[in-house]
Amino acid sequence: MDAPQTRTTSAWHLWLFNPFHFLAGGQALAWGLACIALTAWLGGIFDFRFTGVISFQHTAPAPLWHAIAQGFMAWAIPSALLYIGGRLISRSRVRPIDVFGTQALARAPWLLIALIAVSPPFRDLTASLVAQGISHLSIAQLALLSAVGIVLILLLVWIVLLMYRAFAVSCNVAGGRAIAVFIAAIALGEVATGAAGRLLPGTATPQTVASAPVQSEQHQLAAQLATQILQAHEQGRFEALGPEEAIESFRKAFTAEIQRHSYQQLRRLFGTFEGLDFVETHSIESQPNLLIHRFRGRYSTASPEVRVVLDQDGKLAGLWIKPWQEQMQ
Amino acid sequence: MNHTDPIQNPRLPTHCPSCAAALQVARLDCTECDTAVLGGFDLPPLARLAPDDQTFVLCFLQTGGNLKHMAKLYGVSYPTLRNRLDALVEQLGPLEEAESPKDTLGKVEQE
Repeated sequence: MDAPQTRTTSAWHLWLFNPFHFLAGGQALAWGLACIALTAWLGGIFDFRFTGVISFQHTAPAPLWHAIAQGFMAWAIPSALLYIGGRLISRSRVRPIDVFGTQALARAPWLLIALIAVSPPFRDLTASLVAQGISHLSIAQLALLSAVGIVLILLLVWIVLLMYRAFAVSCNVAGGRAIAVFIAAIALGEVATGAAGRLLPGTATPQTVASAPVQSEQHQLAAQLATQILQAHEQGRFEALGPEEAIESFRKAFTAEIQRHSYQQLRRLFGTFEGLDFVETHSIESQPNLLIHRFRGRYSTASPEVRVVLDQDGKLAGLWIKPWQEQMQ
Repeated sequence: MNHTDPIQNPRLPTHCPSCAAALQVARLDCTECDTAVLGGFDLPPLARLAPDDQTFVLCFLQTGGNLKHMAKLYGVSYPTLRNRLDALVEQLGPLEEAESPKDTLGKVEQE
């Protein structure tokens, strides 16, 4: 007995662009969730996270469970929105297991993107890009960057196409209304997933701060603290800070695991730490009890900014290392 | 796929090959006594379906309407199969008015 639709579409084409013709429900959910978990785990190890439905970005080091939670949120949130949309416009009976299962399977190619993102050549390439800028890349590196970029775009298009086909099959919808609902659900899902990710405990991203340069002798203490930490990392020591060295919230966030992750990332980006050169001190308008001390870090391959935030008691409240920019952002 | 020989077992045409309008039965013959019945008879709704769709409906009846079992037989997913069934139901929709299920049940009970 022939399967429906196979009269006009070859089987390999269907497996590639509409696997939901053959696979849906619990089976698709199992395979899809396995791929999502593997992708999120792989991303978490190398500091890549799902910051949206179709956004997989390199982020600051964070606990592994953050990456896994965000991986599942990037699937569950748009799936729920598509299920609601499908219920609204479909005349068929829509089963949640089909919508969630097919959407999970549609995200399977993210595993390929994750494998590319964490592969040593790609990581070396992005490290060079971040540390030196695009103008310093060689012709071979630029060619590789372009090739990888094209592959990533094609994979992303494939994923979106699969997500739409999953929606169309699981909800039995087609045409303009289906496309409109799909676009709305994905756009809303992108925003909601990003917002949900930021709500995870311990998630903090450096924000632009309103500040003004000031004079302070506290920068010597800042240099001493930062040098102590960065030199310890070079010696393979990733130790928790004491209450006399840093404020409580920073001590909780600056775990040994985070320190090890940060060090590996910095080593790749900037090389070995050698020292610090003081540049300036800023006061923060919104938090007058904190001072930001900016240093030019001396590393073996680059000179990034080392930003040390101290409170009025001289306790460490923040430490960031990033490519140098003349203006503080 | 229908493996029957189209010459020995010709398919019942349901639409005019010239203008694509629905065909009617004009003559029925008794193979026992050679009686011929002439007239204009509409084809039953199921007979008007494409051969593949007729096979689909037959399979639906044979599996007792178990779509999961049918999906396995067809080698497709549950929603794919259900979507095809929904399309068939939509196709048959306007024909339902010809004879309501309630009337049909009445006839069965009388028999």
